Amino acid sequence: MKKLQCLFVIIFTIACFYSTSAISHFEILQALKTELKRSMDSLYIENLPKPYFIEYSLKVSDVYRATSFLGSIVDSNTTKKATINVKLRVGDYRLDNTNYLDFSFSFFFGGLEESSSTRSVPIDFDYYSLRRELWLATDFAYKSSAKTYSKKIATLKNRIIKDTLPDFALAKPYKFIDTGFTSPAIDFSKICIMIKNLSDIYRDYPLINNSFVSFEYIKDVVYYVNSEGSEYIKPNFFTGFETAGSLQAPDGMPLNNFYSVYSTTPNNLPSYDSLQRAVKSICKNLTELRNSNTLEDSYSGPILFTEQAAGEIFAQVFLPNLVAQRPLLSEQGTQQLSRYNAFQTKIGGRVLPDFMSVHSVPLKSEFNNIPLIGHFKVDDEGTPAENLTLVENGYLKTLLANRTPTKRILKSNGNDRNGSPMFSNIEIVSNSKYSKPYRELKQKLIQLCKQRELPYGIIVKKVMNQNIYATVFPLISPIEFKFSGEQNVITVVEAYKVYPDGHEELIRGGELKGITPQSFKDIILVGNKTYLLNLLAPVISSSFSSGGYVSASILAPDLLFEDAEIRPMDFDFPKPPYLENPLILND
Amino acid sequence: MKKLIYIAFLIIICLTSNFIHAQDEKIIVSSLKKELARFLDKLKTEQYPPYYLSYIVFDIETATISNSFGRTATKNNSRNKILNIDLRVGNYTLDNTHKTEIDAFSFSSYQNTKLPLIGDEKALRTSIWNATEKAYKDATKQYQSVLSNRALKVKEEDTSADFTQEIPPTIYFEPKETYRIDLDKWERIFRRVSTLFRQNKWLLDGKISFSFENQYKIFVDSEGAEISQNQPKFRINIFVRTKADDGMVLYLSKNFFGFKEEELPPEDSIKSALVELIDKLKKLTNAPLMETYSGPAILKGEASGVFFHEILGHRAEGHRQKDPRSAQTFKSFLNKQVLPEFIDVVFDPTISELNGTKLSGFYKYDDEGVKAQKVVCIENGIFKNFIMSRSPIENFPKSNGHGRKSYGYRAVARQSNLIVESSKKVPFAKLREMLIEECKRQGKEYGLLFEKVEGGFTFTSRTIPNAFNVLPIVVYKVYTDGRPDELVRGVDLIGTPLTTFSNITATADDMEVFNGICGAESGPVPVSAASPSILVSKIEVQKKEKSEEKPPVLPSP
Repeated sequence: MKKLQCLFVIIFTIACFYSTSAISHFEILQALKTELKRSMDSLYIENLPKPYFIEYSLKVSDVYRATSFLGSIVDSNTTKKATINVKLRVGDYRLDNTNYLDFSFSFFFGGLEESSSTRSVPIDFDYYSLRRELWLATDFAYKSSAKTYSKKIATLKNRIIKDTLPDFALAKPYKFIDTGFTSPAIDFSKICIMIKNLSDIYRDYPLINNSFVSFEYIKDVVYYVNSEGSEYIKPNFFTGFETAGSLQAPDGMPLNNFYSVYSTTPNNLPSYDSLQRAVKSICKNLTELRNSNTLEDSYSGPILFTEQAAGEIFAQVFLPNLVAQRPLLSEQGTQQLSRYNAFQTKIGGRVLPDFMSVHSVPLKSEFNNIPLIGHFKVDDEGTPAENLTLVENGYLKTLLANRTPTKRILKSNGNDRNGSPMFSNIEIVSNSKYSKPYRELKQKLIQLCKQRELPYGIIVKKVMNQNIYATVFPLISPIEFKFSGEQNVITVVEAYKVYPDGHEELIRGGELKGITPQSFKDIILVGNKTYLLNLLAPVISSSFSSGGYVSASILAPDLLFEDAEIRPMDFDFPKPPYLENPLILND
Repeated sequence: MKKLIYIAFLIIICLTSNFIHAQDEKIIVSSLKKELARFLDKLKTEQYPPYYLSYIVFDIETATISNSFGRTATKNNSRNKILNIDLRVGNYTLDNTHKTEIDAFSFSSYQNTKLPLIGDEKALRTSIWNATEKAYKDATKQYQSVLSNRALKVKEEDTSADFTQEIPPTIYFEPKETYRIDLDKWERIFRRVSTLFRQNKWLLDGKISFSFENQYKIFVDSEGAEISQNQPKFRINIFVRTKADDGMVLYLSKNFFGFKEEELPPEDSIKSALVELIDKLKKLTNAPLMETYSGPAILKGEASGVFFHEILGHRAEGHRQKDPRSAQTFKSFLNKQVLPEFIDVVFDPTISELNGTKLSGFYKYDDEGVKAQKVVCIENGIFKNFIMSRSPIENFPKSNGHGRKSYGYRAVARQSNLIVESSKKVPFAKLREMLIEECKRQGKEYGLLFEKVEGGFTFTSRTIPNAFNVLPIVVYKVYTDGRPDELVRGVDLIGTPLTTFSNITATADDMEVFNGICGAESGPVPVSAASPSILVSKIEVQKKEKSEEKPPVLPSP
């Protein structure tokens, strides 16, 4: 029977393939450039300003996705997509249509008309069809940019604006053509069998109510040209494996655990055996968690963050503040930044203990032979990537920026990702005097607890990841997904109480509360080993548009905080299941 | 030799996948039944035990391909199995689905659970179990709020129960059909015919698509119903769009529908339809704008079908009659005249074809496990029946097989195949003469002829005027002085139901079918509307909403 199923999957996969278009890289760039030139030369409506800058990008993607449940495929599909995105600016570098929040338009706009500067292109596009789609997208972009520009001018006429920053930074043309890549082949039917088998492991753990196993492989090639003469062709390969399980403790407390691993190509994923071990360890941990003790009271004291937890809290709480943000102007005035604004005016100030430094290293492609998924050579605006020191010996040096000038950063440092500045590969390093082996960190934790007369300390090994929380848990968790949860609350997935004698006890139901970017100054020691966390991080966007998730890599040591807080989950738990899991029935 | 091996391989694949299907259906049914029995049994001692539980699995297979200006735009296959649960606590009279103010504006959606595609029983049952646990918790929560809401509010106008009792339960089984869709064939056909799009550079959109979908639905419930049925649909859609110099967006589309692939037209017919569409759009681009008008008009069959779907059909949907927010237009007209006496209107999901045209509102059993039934709604102009789901209303305690939904929604009464029949028929040429006569009588220079509509919409609630809006795309002025008919653009047909009905004066002896997808609170469902051309002594048109955007600045590359 099993063999028959495999056959079916294979057939399905074959049916999903189709021929790819035969247009060459050169012809694609040529189509982009020709249409760009035509638009720059002739796109003009009387009494409206002409475009001074246009950029075109075309993204061609092949996507393979599959999910599996208890040994059976739930979803498996392959899709091919081609999308163009046009950005067009009217006015000049000093003052153009951007950095302005226009609420009134774009709602109710559209119907059957061109309503976006992002358009799908036929999957087997040719030179003509590409130019046709660019033509329509550019026309829309021009009209909407001109409209926004006139609104912005009108707003400015009525206000005394303190912000006299230019809207767009000048940049030298840069060319980066990477056509030497080979798209790694993928045996999708084999992958489907792999995730089927991995999902089958959950069957042996019937206390786990619901589970999820998925695989995703995205092959992108992006073609880019702009009117300043920059151009690039860059491939991007992304592979992800995610699994999660959910159960309820006898008191109803919902418990989740997950494992995710991201890489460039499927060949770079961990071996089947290692994935199998990871799934088993999640299952085991969840089963243990179910019977573990809860945190009876809020804990305030030293906390040691190790492995995934160290990288995650850095990525979720600290790093978003290292992104330069430009407040937007609107009819109501300048919109103040509400999120991740802790360090916008802090350049030169101390943000970490003086033994710690943070580097942005997009050019670094590997760590111990494992690919860093945040790696790139040219950013999405065509600016060459560079490695930067963001925090040096505790002091903030600079922020990550794109070509949108901000008060402190006037030029791009090559960090535009999906239209906003964003972090990519981040390396957190420390003076060796403060880098200690795990054993010593634990001892220090115990010592601090003794000093404060605390009965125990806490080690956090894993916390919830934002992407997993938003995309996987709604599918398997018995609790309603809270879209905008309380800020600064991070669910703890795996944590231990550490008693003075050194023994550890697994606890469940903790939430990290009140960890702010400033809390990182309270780090007193770090580990002497570096843990690599490849993750999908939500783009920090200053406007309301969501930039989605981008791949990032965090290289972080374990972190010992002198003072942090964990509280027990404080909501009403859903009732545990009324009926037993069918997995344990013998009917 | 190689070819032979290939063929043999294909045959084996077909056989094996057939075999898997047959196995699979049985496993799904037995898994559903086991979990259903288990939940009813184990929950019977709870404070609010379920009194009814149904499972419906939508096993959906699709294959689509589209072409834009000569290039393949999308090409996809998909397969999904989606479980929906209707779990009710309370009793037939009052249960958790009872409308309360709290959910007044929420569309009655519920969770879609994706089931394993080829699952063994344990995997399926675990999915079903998880989903039912959630459905039960949601149902008890809703029931609690229904009870407290009831205590707070005045007695409802319609005191009918929340759920009908249907005895005996239906048992029907169809094995899942296997389809082999050759998308490459369609890709080649579309490549050839779509060269016409490229030749007409003034077009802003030129798309042609083929889509196949089979919804294999498995339904089981706690009353003993057990139904499995295939609902295949094959469609070809052609769409062209441009923009007039004054900014008005103009478009035309043509649909072909069939239950089998071979019922779709051959390449030649597709090509001529495409030529005709482009030609008509070109003419529309140059057509003058129509002014506001009130006077006589003919609605050709397709247009009239949509007109009846909007005006009559949506108001004949039973469940609306007990919604206190609904205008309940026909509730007090039961057994009274609402249309001229020469008109009958039926809703008949049991027929799949009318005068050689396939009807997309055909089905054997509805989504609540009730056998599809022909419903005579209007007989000799008198309102006789509502179309009913399992939500009973005053005087209509039973479903008549019109409880329909798409996955993710709760079923409500929805239309199927609407058929307008007339006993006062004249040849179309005569109807046209009658139009001219009527115009002269009313002192009008011209009457209108509505040839094609894209669809329409209507409001049935009390808070907004109870108007309808039919969206014509091809309209002619028919002059009384013998000038040739003139194509015009830019108007919508509007009105209120009862007045407009009383103005229908005659029909032609023709019959046209509009196959479409109807969207309402239980999601999109396929329907059809068939009607002869009708003459209305007085209609009203208003100017169509028009874009202010200029056509593209630069010419097409």
